[in-house]
Amino acid sequence: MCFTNFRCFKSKKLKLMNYNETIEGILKGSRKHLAKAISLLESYREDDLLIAQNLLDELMPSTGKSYRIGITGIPGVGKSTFIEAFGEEILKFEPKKKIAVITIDPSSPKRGGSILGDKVRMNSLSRHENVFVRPSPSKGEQGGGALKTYETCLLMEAAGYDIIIIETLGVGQSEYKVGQMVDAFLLLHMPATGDELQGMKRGILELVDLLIINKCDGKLEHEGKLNKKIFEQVFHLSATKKKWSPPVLLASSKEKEGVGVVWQELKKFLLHQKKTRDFQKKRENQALECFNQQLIFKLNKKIREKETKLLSYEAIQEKIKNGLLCPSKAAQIVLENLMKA
Amino acid sequence: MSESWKSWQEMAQKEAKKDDIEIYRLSPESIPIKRLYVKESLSKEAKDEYPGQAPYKRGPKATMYTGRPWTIRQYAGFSTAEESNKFYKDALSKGQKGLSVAFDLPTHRGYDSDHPRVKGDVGKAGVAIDSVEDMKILFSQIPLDQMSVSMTMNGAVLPILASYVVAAQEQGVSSQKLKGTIQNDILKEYMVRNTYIYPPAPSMRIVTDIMHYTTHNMPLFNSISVSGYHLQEAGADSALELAYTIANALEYVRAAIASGLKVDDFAPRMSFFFAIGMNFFMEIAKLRAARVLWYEMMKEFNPKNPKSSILRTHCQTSGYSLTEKSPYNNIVRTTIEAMAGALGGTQSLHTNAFDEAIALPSLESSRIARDTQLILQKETDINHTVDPLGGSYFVESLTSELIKKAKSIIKEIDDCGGMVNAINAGIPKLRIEESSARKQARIDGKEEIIVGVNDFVDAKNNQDFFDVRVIDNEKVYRLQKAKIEKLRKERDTKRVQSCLKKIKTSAADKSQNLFVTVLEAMKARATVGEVSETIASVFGRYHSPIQSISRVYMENMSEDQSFKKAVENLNSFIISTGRRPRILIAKIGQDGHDRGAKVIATGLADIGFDIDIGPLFQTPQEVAKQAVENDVHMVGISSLAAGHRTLIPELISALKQVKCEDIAVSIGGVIPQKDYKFLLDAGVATIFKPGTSIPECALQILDVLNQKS
Ligand code: B12
Ligand SMILES: Nc1nc2c(ncn2[C@@H]2O[C@H](COP(=O)(O)OP(=O)(O)OP(=O)(O)O)[C@@H](O)[C@H]2O)c(=O)[nH]1
Ligand SMILES: [Mg+2]
Repeated sequence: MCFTNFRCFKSKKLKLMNYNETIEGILKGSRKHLAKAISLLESYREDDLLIAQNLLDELMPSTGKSYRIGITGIPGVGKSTFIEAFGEEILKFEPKKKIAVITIDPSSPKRGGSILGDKVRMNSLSRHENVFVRPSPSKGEQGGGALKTYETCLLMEAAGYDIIIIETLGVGQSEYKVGQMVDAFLLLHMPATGDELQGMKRGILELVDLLIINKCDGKLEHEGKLNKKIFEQVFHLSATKKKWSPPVLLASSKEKEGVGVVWQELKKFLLHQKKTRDFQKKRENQALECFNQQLIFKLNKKIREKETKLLSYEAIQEKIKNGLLCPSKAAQIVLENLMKA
Repeated sequence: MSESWKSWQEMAQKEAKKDDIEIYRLSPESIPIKRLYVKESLSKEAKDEYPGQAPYKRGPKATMYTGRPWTIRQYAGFSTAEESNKFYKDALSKGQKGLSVAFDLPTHRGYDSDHPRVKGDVGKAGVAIDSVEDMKILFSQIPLDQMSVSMTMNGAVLPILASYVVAAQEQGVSSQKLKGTIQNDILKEYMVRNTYIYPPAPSMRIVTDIMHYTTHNMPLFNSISVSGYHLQEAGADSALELAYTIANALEYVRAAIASGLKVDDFAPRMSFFFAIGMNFFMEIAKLRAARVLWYEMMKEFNPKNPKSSILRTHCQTSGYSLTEKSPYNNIVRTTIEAMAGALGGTQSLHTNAFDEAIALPSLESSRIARDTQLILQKETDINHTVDPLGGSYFVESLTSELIKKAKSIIKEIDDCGGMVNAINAGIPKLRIEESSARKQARIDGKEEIIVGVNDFVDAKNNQDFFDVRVIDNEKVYRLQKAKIEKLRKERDTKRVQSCLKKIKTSAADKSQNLFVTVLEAMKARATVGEVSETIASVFGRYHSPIQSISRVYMENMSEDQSFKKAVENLNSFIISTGRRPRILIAKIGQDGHDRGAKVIATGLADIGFDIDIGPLFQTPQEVAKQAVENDVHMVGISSLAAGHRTLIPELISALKQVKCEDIAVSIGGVIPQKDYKFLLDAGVATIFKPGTSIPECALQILDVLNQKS
């Protein structure tokens, strides 16, 4: 049993708020307008996405001026706790900085809603005037999850955020994708035994710019120190290939120890990148990569739409599955059909 | 099996028209409940057992209620010390035997009444105590050498117990003579009750510091009341409640021994506290099982004094079982529960008032609650015989089953390395939330019937027929503020400062007893808030991580018609707006009741909503910030501790300030009917009353959102 009051909704269609107002709002750093624009990016609807696209396009001149920092690690390693301590550390040294945090949880169910509780572990950071925290809901069903994150970064930059931190769960492919769209990629690791180290995914180490062994407090501290040596060796061996040998740092996010050093080291890395012009090159590649992916994504979508109308897309797929049609020939047919239409 | 058994089975099969006749149902604890228990159902080793003898299954005393009936001890407290004192004296003159103090939430959380974070909560859900001066008023004209006083205090246990000791001293009563109980059970605060202040490790030290002090200076005082009550109220079934309570108690025993106490010095002064819900026989069995478990588990510590392993307990009937709809039905429920408490052999009892789900009890409703116990004691034959159900095939079997079940749950905790570790890993909280979600699904799916709520609903549901207690929060706030200002003016500030400094040193130095330094500070008229802040500057304030469960509700509801309808409506919302409805479920103020918020969050997410959960203890402004950044469609506030009249208008104006009045604000929880108009006028979109099913909530939310877009 509930009592509802419909009187209090006078204004309808608030979602389609004024386009210009939104642009101005974002440029002025309005939380509300930034938040609404991000929702447009997340929308399932074509018309929303078109508006979002135009919006982004107009905001492009004001983007690019931030550091984009990706943070990954297995569930429960302490990413959110780290970001809380890290963000506060940055604000302690540079109180004027504006920090935005995006959290993505690819493990949330593909269908159905999700519970986004991450903020709770960034309790005091999220209260801060200069901080904007946005957990992204489940993305399974929308295309291009990582692309949305990239575009969300752009919006946040336009709204004046200097440091953008993206928390992503170290499962599946999402960490690789995030690794490929940030300026600096941090891996959080938990002190582990030698055996456990054997079992870890090595591939990700190639992308890492800074490795942090978190939870170096209490019982785990000793283990952490041993791990540090092992990782340093690993990085040392591959150092010739890379210009930057990732530092391995010990920290306890809970006790807020060693977190300041991470910020100092990170700044060193970013400076190094700027000096070698790798920073700029990386960003250029990322923008192009984003373009390529969008193109493929949009093309795919178009083809599907058209094909379901013309030839049956499903029928083609069926033939391919049964070995009656060569895949490359099939692609050729589909493409030609599209051009004709 | 005997001939009679076989022919009973045949007959039963015919009557019930079922092949598998033996098991009637599975209890919430997953204990199979049989249709019939017979002599063979008892374990082979069952021997004659006596009350007052190990393992104390039949009661801690030889004569039980035939010697002395259980103590009628009603939990109460509201508004100012002056008001509560008046209420206590009245209750004592009308048959109540002991006092039990309910403090307000700012006091629980270590804030003075004038702290900016707590304005809406002062005096609302208990009595506001800021210093010794308030404590003296609270017990004025109540002789503390004769009265046994129980205090539910855990977070701010140091300054509150100290104030009590000082108030008694200034009444001329030495601490040696004080009788009563301090709850001092911090572990369950992290699990469910949420009035912690500091992190677990230093809080455990506070617990043992108090045990040291009471052991040496307050021999008649129970140093701890290990509480399962709150676990059940938060959703734990009886086995979970039982097991976690015993596991917590063992953790305290270990901590006390590690801190240098001998088991026989303190264990006889440990007491317990259980809830009594509507599963009549299960609850009786639970109390009997608890005594056996405690006796067996305490063997580990080799006590020489038999009292060390005798479990004595207080009980309270379940508030959760009481409904907002058809509230007079609650009198019947409470009576049944009270009977179970008595048949289980409790030492003292609180019976809830029929307006439990509406507000703090009124004068009239608390009279009926108290009289319920008097009727049981004076008008029935319940206390004419010790353990009247002893030997019942059914009750004895259930008792054994519960012991078995509880042991396996305790083992799980042991395997984690004890309760502190288990709590850090979040295990008990998740188990309890799962159990709560399952219960909600059983009710929403009508597998469990609540008369007047999900079946046999009475159309008229009017609170005009009885008085509802109203607390003028503004007035309490003003009075408390004035008293604090007066105190600060009149006290010796230098002395207070030096006491606070000593507290700081003793907090950092484990070899000192924190209680002793706090006692000095309270004597010097430091406030509860000053002492708590000083300790927090060394220990830090604890922030509980919110974990969430998913799919538990859905697994039990997916076939339900209303659930399906809600999913359908939600899907059409997504198609028309391009977004999943996103709701921020938030708590504001010091209200720590999170059962409703959690179950709503998990249920709505299972239906398909995107749910943000806010942390506990937010200000309205903080909630507004989170709502704006996440661009939610609605903020759903869950409010149970009566802060809504202050906090909701503040939230709405905080949203207006950032021009986000398009975000709807809804509220659920304990809201008296006469506040509806006030809230709707303030701009609240929907009020969800206790007893609303989750699919019903979902449909209503979607209606509101559809109207808007
Ligand atoms: C369970 C309970 C507890 C548990 C809480 C466990 C927990 N972790 O939540 C324990 C035992 C710990 C507890 C303690 C206290 N309690 Co208490 N407690 C209750 C009780 C009995 C039931 C509440 C409950 O959980 N119901 C079950 C849930 C599922 O229902 P619900 O929250 O109402 O939610 C439903 C709807 O309201 C709606 N809904 C609710 N919120 C929302 C939000 C949205 C967005 C939507 C859509 C729907 C919705 O949907 C839900 C499903 O139907 C109530 C009385 C009662 N029967 O309501 C007292 C009550 C709330 N407690 C009360 C008090 C005073 C306290 C204490 C402050 C006592 C003290 N002085 O120490 C303490 C301190 C607690 C704290 N930290 O804040 C008072 C508050 C008085 C008032 N409002 O005027 C009450 C009303 C009892 C009374 N009459 O005295 N309590
Ligand atoms: N001892 C210790 N515990 C930590 C530390 N950092 C985090 N934790 C704890 O580890 C648990 C998980 O922390 P989170 O910050 O939520 O971890 P996360 O990686 O963000 O988790 P997900 O988002 O669920 O993947 C929490 O209980 C933290 O309190 C640390 O430095 N030391
Ligand atoms: Mg996280």
